[in-house]
Amino acid sequence: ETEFRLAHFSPTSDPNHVTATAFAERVAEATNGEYTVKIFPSAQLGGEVDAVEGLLLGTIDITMPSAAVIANWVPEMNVLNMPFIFRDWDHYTETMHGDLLDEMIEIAAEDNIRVLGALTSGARHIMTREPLESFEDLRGRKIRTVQNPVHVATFNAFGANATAIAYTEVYSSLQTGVVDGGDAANTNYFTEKFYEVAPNWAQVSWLFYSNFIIMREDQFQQLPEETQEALQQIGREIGQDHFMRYRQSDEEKLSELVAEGVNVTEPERAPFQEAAKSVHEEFLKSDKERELLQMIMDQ
Amino acid sequence: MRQGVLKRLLAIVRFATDCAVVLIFFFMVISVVGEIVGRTFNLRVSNAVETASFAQIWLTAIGGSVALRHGSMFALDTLTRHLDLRLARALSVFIALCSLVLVAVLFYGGILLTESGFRQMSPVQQIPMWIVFICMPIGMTLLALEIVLRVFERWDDPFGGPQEDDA
Amino acid sequence: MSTLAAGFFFFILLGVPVAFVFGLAALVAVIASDLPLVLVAHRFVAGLNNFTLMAIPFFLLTGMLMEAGGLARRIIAFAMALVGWITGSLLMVAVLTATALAAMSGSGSADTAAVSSALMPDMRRRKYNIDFSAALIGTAGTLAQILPPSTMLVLIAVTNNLSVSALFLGGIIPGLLVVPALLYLSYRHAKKGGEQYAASGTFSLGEVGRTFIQAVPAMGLAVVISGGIFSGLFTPTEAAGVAVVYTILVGKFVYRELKWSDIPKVTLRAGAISSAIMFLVGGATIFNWLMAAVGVPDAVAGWFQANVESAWLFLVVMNIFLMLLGMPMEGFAIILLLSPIFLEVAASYGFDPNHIAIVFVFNCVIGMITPPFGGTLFVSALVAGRPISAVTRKVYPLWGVMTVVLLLITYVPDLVLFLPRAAGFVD
Ligand code: NA
Ligand code: NA
Repeated sequence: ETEFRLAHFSPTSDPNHVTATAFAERVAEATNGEYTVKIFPSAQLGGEVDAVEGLLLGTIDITMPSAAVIANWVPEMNVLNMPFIFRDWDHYTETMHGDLLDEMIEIAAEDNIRVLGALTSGARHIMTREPLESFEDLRGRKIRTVQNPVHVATFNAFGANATAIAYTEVYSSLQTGVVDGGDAANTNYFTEKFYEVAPNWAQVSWLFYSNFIIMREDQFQQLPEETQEALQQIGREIGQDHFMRYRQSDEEKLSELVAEGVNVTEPERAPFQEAAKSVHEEFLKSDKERELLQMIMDQ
Repeated sequence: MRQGVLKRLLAIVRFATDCAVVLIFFFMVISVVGEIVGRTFNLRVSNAVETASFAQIWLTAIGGSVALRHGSMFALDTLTRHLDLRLARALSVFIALCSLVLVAVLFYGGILLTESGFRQMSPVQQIPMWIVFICMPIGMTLLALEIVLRVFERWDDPFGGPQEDDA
Repeated sequence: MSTLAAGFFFFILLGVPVAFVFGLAALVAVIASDLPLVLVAHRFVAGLNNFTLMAIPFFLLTGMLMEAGGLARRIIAFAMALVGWITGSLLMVAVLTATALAAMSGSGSADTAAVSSALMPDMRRRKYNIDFSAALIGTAGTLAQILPPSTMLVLIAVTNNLSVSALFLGGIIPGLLVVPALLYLSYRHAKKGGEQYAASGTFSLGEVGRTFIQAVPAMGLAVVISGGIFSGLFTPTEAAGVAVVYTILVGKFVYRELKWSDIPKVTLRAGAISSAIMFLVGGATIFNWLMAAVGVPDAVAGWFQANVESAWLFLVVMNIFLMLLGMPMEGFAIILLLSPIFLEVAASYGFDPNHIAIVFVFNCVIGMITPPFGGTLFVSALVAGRPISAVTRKVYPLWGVMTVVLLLITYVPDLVLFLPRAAGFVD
């Protein structure tokens, strides 16, 4: 009997935890209890980067980090960080569970990471202290982004001044005006109460933020074949369920935000999309990466 | 004569460590303040959240040996202050051995991290992570050296209490 | 779990440097389990890779530079001119300075470091009881985590989906309740002490004015920090970096007491002490990972569900439990691991989560002065150059009044909830 340590970074109320729980139940069921999964929520075993490091060092067996973080080991994952590559939820859902997933499994395996399934943390929008009605309104604003070069370049391309602030200081920085705004998904905008200090919520969906449920490739290869198949199968299925669940919770969160009195705007997307193209060119260097981008756009 | 050479070598290592600690600390201050200036005047300067945090890891790893040398590493003296010299010496050797075991494990882990750091980039500035992790083997070597020297240097009064730091 | 605890107490009582104790105890537990040894180094590094933590070395260096550059001397001179006629005035200066700093800093260790490195030399010169002084400053330093801004309050709000603003407001009254209690204990200690605590001169308005003008550039630091934070120029952690630069500029160009050659010397000393503190943090990070991995949080939840029926009994048990845990553990880890469990259990008993969150953090704050691992006490003892056991012996009355305040805010929820309610954050 083997117990896997599964670490994730969301509170137990989050769709991520529901998905992790479903994964654990189904693994135990499919292997008749031969393999069990113990879940450690809320970053109890460390943050995202730590968890992937721990996965590769053997202190954690399974984790659910973002594609942006996995890209520190698997550069091709950066394609999923590119702004405006998905048209909408339907396009996004379909692509992430199609051929792209098989490609990602193959690519990551070379860097000793086994992708079991594709997950999501939803569409990302822009929260600001002052209302954001159009692309122009973003010019010169200090916007806190996720600490990733693509995110930084994207917001600079949008005409904003991408700013680095530790996540724990985002709330107070918005409150005092160290930054004029930040980027977030409906979920964390709601749960971390950023709307209290940045009550303007521009729905731009500049990025659909993906994560993956992963384990270490050489550990995966040591498992019996039928267990490998079961894990891969379960990973795919809980991924599909997760997308549906997340999309639904995303919509619910938005209506709760409206009820809280948040000023929701929908700036025209075209100028954003135009600006995003320079980011694609700057960051997608290898043929493989460009090929992956094409694959997504053509879906 | 050989002892003279060793002493000089030790003095050089210690001086270099001191310089490194001071420079790393300056770097942390300058990069954090630089970031504020850059943000205020809309200049795009490098990311202090990442580089300064990495510098902090370096500061800790390298500074451990300086801390031990300056008597800044505290220990509970409930037991040690009641011992006669012979027991105190034995205990000081035992404590040094315990400390060395931990330092050795940190050294070993640091080597593994450095190795895996060749295949890992930092999240923001895509710095190869071995540049960060290598501070562990380096710092732990320096710390091990000071742990051993401390036993010899304080052989006649192993638990004389922390010395007043008059730097 | 028992391996961890046993290892911890064995090594600490043996006299192993505390900076190594967490790491060693964790190492024993790692060896006893099937976990790879590399975990130790990995968690150590991960724990230090934290930007917010950097306020500690920065405020430490600021405090030492304030001393070397003559800033501290001038603030103290002014404070002495103001309250020198009260017995044990320097102790009160320490409490009030710590309180003022608490309103600018979100880290108890940083606050303690700044106050103790600024005031300790003068206390020693005047032959104050250094152990009591260190214990007092360590206790006053914990106010940084109760009075806003506070990194612990942010953490517990984020972990439990509460409003940061509500908790910041909720911390104000509990924090301010501590101040007069500490002032009273300072006064009592000085009264019982000897000559050295006596008033050092008579009150003179001219002297107050003269020392005030001299102290203005030094006190400008407070204006720069709080002004910078509240006007949105920088974050609290960044403010600590600004404080270093400001202190150098004033010490060098205004007071002209700081020599260029002093700066590397002082920086090296601050670097050494920071490293000792950070070793502790790194070790605690390994320790806490193991606590989480062996499932301490679940065990706690299960125990409550099985054994505690009444709501008020729950509060008693929670306080006792958190205080015991606060002995060896560090506050951030306790918040991350246990606050979700306790807040959930508390909600089932019908308590307001904002109230419980403040009580929870207050417990963690008391943990910072509870031996054997008292975060701020270690800092003040380090700066004072005194054995931790000596400082610990003097902390009990201070610990006592903190506990009284804890009981007050536990059983009179209005003390916590009045301000957030008035501002409309809590129903
Ligand atoms: Na504070
Ligand atoms: Na404690």
